[in-house]
Amino acid sequence: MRKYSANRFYDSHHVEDGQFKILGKLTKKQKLSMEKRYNLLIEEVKYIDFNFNKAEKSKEEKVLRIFSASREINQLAIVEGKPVTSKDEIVMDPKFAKENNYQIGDSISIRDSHFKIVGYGITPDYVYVLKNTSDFLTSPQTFGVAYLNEEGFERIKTNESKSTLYSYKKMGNSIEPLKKYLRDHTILLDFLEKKENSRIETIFDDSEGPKQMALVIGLLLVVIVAFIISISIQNTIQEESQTIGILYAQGINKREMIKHYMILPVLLVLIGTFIGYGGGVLLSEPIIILQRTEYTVPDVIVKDSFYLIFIGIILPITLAVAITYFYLSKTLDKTPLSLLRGEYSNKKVSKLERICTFNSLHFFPRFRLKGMIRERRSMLALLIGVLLAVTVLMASAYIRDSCIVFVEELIDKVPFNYIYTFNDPGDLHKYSKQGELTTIKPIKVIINQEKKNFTIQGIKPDSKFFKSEFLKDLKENEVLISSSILTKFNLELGDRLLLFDDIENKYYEVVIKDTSEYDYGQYLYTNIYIFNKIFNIRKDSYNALMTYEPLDIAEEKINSVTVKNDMIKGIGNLLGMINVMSGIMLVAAVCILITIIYLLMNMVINKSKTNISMVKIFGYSQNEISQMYMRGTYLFLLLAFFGGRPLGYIITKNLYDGILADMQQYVMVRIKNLSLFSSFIIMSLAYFITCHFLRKNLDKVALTEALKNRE
Amino acid sequence: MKKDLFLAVDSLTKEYISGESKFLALDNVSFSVSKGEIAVILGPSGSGKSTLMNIIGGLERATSGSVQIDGKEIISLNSKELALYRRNYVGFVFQFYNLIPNLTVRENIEVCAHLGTDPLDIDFLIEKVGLNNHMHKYPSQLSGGQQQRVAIARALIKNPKLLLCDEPTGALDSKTSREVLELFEEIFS
Repeated sequence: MRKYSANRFYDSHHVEDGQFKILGKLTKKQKLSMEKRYNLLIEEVKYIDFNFNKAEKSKEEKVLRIFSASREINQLAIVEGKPVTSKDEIVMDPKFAKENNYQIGDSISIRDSHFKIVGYGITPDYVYVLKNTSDFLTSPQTFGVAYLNEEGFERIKTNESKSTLYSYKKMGNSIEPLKKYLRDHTILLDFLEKKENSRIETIFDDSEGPKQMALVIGLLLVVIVAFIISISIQNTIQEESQTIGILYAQGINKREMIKHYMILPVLLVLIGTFIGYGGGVLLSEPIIILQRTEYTVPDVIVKDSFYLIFIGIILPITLAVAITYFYLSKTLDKTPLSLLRGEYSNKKVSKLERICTFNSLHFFPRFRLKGMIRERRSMLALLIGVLLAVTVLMASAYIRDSCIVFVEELIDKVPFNYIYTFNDPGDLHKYSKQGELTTIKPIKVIINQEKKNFTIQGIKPDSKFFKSEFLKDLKENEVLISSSILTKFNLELGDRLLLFDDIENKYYEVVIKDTSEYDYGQYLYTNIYIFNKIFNIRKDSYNALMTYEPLDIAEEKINSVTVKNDMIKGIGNLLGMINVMSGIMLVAAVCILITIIYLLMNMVINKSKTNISMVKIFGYSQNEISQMYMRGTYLFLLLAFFGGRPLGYIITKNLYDGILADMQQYVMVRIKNLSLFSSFIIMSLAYFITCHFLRKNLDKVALTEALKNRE
Repeated sequence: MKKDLFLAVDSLTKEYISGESKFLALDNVSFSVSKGEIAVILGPSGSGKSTLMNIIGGLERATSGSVQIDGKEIISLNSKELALYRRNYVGFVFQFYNLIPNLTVRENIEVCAHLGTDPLDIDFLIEKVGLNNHMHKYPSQLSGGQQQRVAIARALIKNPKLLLCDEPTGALDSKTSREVLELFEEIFS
């Protein structure tokens, strides 16, 4: 659904196929020649970064990236309000506006010019509003985008930026010749294809993980429900087997009997499916709103696509009806005589029951185990259902905890508060005393034949920021990597990595020496001497500055700045979404658990009514009876707990792998002991509450039940 | 009250009410049974024999009257106390054996072995009811008479003070009925 909306938005508003940044500008002639030669549309992206902390004298680093909206590529879409029509008007990204209390109609002052906010809107290249494409999460509190018309932009622009960003839309296929041209004829600073642009692509990545998980859990639930219906029908048929035998003997055929027994389950499945579908559509509303806190996609609508109808209505009905029909047909496939003789009655003892005598056990455990063997189909459904519920429960804890632990650890894993890159290398040295010089270089790492976006950082061995002993000991071509990235790509210490610099079109090789205690993205860390040697850069060459305090510098001089607090805030935003998702999963898990236990155990109680009545007559107390008939099932819960934990881990890992596939970060899947304990308590509580209600049903079994003629 | 009196039923009445219609199943019934005595209740179908047995056995409640077992009134007991009474005092044999199908002969008897404070020896009892060769069989593998023998052994295992048998031969043919009655005679002799 989100994918559909995003694709539609991208098509209608001419999303770019890529972008590149060069030092200086393309001449008009150069631009036209490139467009003609490579069958492209190239457009300059005019923008400035406006720093709020100076304007508002706020200590918090707050940046509004202001674009000229007069564009053919990445056209502005209005989410609310109206587009800019005069030089005094501005359209703002809705999340930044919301977080910073900017309403439509408010005024904003930018570099001594005043603008009236006339609407909220977004362009396709900022659906996921990341400050830097290598960032992990958005932070609408501190970074947003805004749009002016051409004349409005002229009012605030400066000419201090020495680099120019261009976006392109291709008509042909290959972009390699374009890259080569740029390398040969310009100083290419950055080249980013759409497929590698996390501002555009992240929206697609993280819808797949939850979708697959929901689909698997949903289908398993449908199968379990169908199985429960089948068991219930089989029980009824067993009870009524002699009556069915009489009806068969009198000429009623199997098809008529199937029709009779199918009416109720089909009706139940139909009602349940439509209610479930409606509930799902209703529930998806808040989830969509929740997703809007991460992405801005105009016109997200719940669309009754054939896929949704198929998954939500056709598939559950078909599956449930097919399973029920299969079991029913098999059960009714008996001769009238065998039914009349009671060969299908529940008095028969199966081969399995004869094998599983449990003779070495004491009477009561033996009694309980024999009961379970007798009700093995119900018990199997119970085990699978409980396992499913506990898996969802554990996944909910894993998902939440992984994110919480990530936030907790992030504070110690980012050694700086700010890391700056500058438009003019001269500024780097001018401000170098306020921090520590370092070099960062975007690089592709080839893993499983795929180019992954990484950053390699060269750090002084005696760094005051990186207090890592390993840095000094690194030898030629050796790098450090964070353990989370090591896990993300299944790498091992000692692995050789092939690096590709697509700006220079060169390959390099490095070896993973060890893991780094620092972790703030898809980074390789090495000491500056090795870095310079690998990339053949002259000694004492740096391009970034790490600081603890923000620099007092004009924003147009800064090429990029990464702020530790923004990372933490970004994760905080994600945590909000994760908490809601985890909460929904927790409620769903408890509901599944209670429903499955109640339905199946109630069926077992109903089936054993005569025996329960008999043991009541013998003088067993209610407590003893509930122990005899129900206590054993707690074993399934314990089994499910031990099985559900690894399954929950796998689900969470797949989920995060999906979400973070193209993000330059990784969240290690972890669970806190407290959550493990809480999950166990929640699971046990749900079980005992259900048993409390089941006990009431057990108490309701009348003493006279056993006195009825059943022989 | 006589010294060896065990069961005393006095003015026992049971009325069933269904909607507006009433049915009097027991009307002012009084009798007594002494310790060691075998009492046989005879009567036509629908005369209230089973109702009387059920009330004495603590399975049903009377409308009025008194039932004293070993000097203790059971009519006023609540359901928990009645369960305890059945546990400590009564063994039941019904017309239909109601054996638990997935338990063997031995296990079906064992179900009640854990209830009394002074249970009989299970192997002795199995031998007594003549099921030595069948003790590992399941109820579905036994004849009606054999199943009733299991039911009798099950009722006796806890060594009850009162054995209530409600038409124990009702579902059996005449030959098997005779065998079951002979078994009772043998046990009580």
